[in-house]
Amino acid sequence: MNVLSGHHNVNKRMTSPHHTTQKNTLSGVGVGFRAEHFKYIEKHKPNIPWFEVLIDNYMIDAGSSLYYLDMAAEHYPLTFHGVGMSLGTSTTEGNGKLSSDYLAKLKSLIKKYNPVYVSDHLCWTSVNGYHSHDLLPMPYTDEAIRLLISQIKQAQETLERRILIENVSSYVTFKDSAMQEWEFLKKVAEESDCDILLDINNIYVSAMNHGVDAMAYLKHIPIERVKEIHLAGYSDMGTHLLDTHGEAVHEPVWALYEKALQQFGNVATLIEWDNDIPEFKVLEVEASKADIIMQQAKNHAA
Amino acid sequence: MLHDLQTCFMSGIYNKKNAGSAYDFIQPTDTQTAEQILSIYRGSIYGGLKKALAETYPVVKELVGEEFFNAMLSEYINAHPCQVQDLNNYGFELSNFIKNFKPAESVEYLADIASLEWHINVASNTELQINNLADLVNLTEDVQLKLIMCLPKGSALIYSDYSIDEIWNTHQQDDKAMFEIENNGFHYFVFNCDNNIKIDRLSLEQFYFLSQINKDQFFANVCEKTSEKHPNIDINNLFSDAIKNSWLVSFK
Repeated sequence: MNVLSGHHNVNKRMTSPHHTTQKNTLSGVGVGFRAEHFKYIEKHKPNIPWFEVLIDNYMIDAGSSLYYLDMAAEHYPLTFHGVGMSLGTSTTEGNGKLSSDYLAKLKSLIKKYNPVYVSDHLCWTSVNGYHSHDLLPMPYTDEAIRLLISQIKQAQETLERRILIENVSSYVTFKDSAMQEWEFLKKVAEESDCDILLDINNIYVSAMNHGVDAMAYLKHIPIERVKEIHLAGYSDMGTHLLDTHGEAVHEPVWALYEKALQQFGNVATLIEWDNDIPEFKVLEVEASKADIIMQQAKNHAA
Repeated sequence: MLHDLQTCFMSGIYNKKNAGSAYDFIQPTDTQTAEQILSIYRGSIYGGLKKALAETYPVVKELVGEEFFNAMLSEYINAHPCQVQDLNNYGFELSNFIKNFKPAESVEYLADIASLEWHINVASNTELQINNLADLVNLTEDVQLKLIMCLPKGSALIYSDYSIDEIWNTHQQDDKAMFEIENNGFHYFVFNCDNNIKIDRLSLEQFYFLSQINKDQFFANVCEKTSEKHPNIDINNLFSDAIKNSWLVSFK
């Protein structure tokens, strides 16, 4: 059977009782809502249970992307995923200072579209007015934990809802780090009382780059806080793995995903693909693979 | 401590020649030095910014080729580290940068194309305002002269020695026909007309008239200054042309 003609698989996924997603709940395997697929989604209304929106791209006054966001919101449950909150940015005084403008725009979009989840990253992206537009890792220190707890609490209070924080890929170990990443993530999530978006690809990439045990990472994450999982592709650069979101999910990441579902249950999962974005059908095939693993995990648990 | 780390790290990203303080925070590995580790981040950050700039400046990229474009952008990012949160707003200095970028001086119109593409980007991302010009008919001429006329938000009046509208239009087509680039001097108005970006050529008089309107002054002053500068022009014709072409959208 030609997997690429995978409408059959996709339809099967939708008719499964486990994936009867309501607009205010989330289950099954969603995909990223990207401009390259706007017209396809509008025309075909593919059988995808939910879409994740890179919400920074919609903090604009005008443009056709807002029209397509309206269209998506009308037909699918949405999650908002941000990259601009920069929760880990420290000021000269050692405090954080979230952008009130950014939070106001985000809050306005939340109010309009009522996403199921709102997430950002356990990272910093800017300092002293300079922006990297990249997800820079934190040193795993008590100072960073205190800062993040304060920032996440502030974000949740302002947005009047819980947020999810996502672990990022890293290529650097800071000399100041005094604990493993999983310990850092657990402390921040528990003490700020937020939820976790667990990126399995990022765990694998960082584990390989730093020579740590990805399974040990999973085992230390508080089960009840994991509300969403991300899957994506990396690139092997020879000296390190690079989190490019530009390829299909790699086999070791699928294997780790299987272990994650055994631990966390069938958490809503997203296929992320942000560079060299292929036809939508390729994403549907990736989603189908994740779906099969979900079903297997469900059967295994039963 | 955390702030120092972040300051040095960011500084090391955007200032490669002075990245030493960033290395103090980075643990080298058996296979990679601190410099190599920082360069992974530099490559990723510069790659992201170049991708955003390529979306804003597709014609500039096509005119010079991908390799030259990327090399030029590396220099641009070094000179203008990103200081905006919204990537749509990054890159407005590129036109001026190109003017002084010697390797690009053989493409004489490149900076003007960059300017045009920047203004197209701005117009595309600006919310349309409500057109209330129909209400003008209810006002006497005396009252009209006391109004302030408004150009569309995000619009721009630009000048180029070259026919950059033809260059831009040609690069929107799959089959790019050859044409001769004119260099007699052209005035343009770039604006969002009902979600279509228009690049209209203006006469010298029209350009002056719209430039005066853009100064947010009473219409009487606009008319007076335009008549002084261009005594033979019919202001009523200029005004009706501006309305007919949607160069004006509202008044206050």
